[in-house]
Amino acid sequence: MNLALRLGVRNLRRAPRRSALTVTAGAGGFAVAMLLVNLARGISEQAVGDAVRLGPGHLSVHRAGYLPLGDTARDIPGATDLTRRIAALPGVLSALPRLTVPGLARSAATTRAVVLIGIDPPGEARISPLATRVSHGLFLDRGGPDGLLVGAALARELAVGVGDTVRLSVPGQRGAGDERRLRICGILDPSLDEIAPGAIWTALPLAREIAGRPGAAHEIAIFLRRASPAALADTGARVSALAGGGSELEVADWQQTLPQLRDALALDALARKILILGLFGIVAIGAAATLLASVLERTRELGLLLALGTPPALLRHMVLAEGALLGLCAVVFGLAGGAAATATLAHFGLDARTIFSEEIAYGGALFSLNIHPAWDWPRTAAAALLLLAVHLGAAAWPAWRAGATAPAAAMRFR
Amino acid sequence: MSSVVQACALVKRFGTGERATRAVDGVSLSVDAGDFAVLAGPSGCGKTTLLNLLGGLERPDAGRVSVGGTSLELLDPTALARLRLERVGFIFQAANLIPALTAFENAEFTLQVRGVPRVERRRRLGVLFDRLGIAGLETRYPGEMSGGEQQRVAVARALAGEPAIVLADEPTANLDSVAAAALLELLSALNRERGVALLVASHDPLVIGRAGRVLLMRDGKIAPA
Repeated sequence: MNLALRLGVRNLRRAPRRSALTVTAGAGGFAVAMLLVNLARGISEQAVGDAVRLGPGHLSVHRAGYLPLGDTARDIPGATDLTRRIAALPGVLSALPRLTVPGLARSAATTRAVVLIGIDPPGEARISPLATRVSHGLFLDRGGPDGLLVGAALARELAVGVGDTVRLSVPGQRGAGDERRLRICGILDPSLDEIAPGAIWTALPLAREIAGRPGAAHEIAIFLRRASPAALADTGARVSALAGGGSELEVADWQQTLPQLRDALALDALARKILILGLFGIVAIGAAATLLASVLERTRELGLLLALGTPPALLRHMVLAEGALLGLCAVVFGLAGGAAATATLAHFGLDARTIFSEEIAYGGALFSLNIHPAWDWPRTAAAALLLLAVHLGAAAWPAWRAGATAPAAAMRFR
Repeated sequence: MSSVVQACALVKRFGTGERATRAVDGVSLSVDAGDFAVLAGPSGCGKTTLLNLLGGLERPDAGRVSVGGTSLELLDPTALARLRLERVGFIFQAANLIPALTAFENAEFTLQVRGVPRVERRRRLGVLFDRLGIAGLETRYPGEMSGGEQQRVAVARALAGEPAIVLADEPTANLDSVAAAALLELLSALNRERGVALLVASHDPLVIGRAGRVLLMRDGKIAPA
């Protein structure tokens, strides 16, 4: 074994309680960091999964210029055929066309501006949380050809319930508003009010008919089997090729179509990084104090080693090895602790629903408060490397001091 | 005889201003290969400081030291360490073993730093441990040995590298008379057989009696012969 490393191991074993305490602090810090990373991954996957299924999919195709404001004059030509070809691509779970048209909903009580979204009910029922979030009545796939799905807040404003009718006027392509009577088949869970305020849903053929746009769609939402960055990029390139690769149609990923969610997750990641850096900073101070105390205690011994002809660099390497060993032990024990905590929480979940409500809406997505962490090995590995670097950094000053010991003065030290 | 260590007008002061003390005050000396010289004198006369200067453990305030023809003032700490490793063996008043290492590991330490192969280390130390009467103690830690045993391990450490000169500071001070005599016998034999130069700081009559040359120190100076 390398001499510096062997001496480092022996030195750490000389003060077992101090070494154990330092390792425990490092391991605790790493375990907490690992749990935070895995919780964040779990929250992010859950939020992104819910948001894309409720919204524009992992990827979406639009006519150029439709985004960001949703210019309804710009629909996708040949949307039905393109949807079928996208759905046949490898890695694509589903491709769903949607038509979004602004309009006015009138009930006996009042009139409200709404956004009519025409969807494929059987396809959406397999993918979208809308189908599972109907609190009253039925989803569109069982709601009849003229069925209408509305949010709880809008239903309250219009003073309508399941089975009631509303009159809907949508400016047609000819510029004239055609009023249609639609029957409410379902009312959504109130938790969705903040996510899609003023939205109402109906079957795509009916929406096309109301809007006077046969075969039209503004968006093709694409859902992937795996939503890794590589899968997004790969499928995005294939879809672009299918869409013609020109300027007429554009392909956007969820980070472009859900910028609020992207920013919310980025903010969360930043807060997590600051927390982990703070945590590791405290660990670094502890490790530096331990190593410096150890070097100062060994002043006489270091002087002796130098007197015997030990190169100062070997003493520096010895102290750095001690730092690296403390870091390595902290990573190993921290990994065990973090893995145990993650596995436990992944099984039971971290349930904050007794303190808050069932879920909170933030950044355009719903965050469940029954949180389940998900393994994030790349970030865990990065945290492990960071912790090792922190320990080496903490050892730098004590190592320099050890190498700079004046042998005769050190040997007079008592 | 070729000179192993040469010192010229060495001065070493401790403290500053009116409180400054000249621990070594204009000392010049030369130790040749095969010499057995003793630095004798009362406690505090500057023997240890002079040994430290000759071994490159401290820098003089004035004067020059050369070891094997190499001027120490030209060397940086790493080169000084290398020179000590290859040419100088130290024996201190206290054994000064590394507590975390066994007797064998302590003795082989300088050889290991020099990159001497394991087989050669074992061969050299086997001979030395036998000769010093500490064979069988190889795996003991310093805390598990008597003062005499520890001192003999320290001697093995100093001699293992086959240095050109051994600088010993009161090597018998912590030993009983039997152990002290045995240690001196060994040092004398190595001096005779291998031509290792010995410069021993001591006021032990037993040591002075064995020396070929006695340098008497008083108040930082070497008294004229």
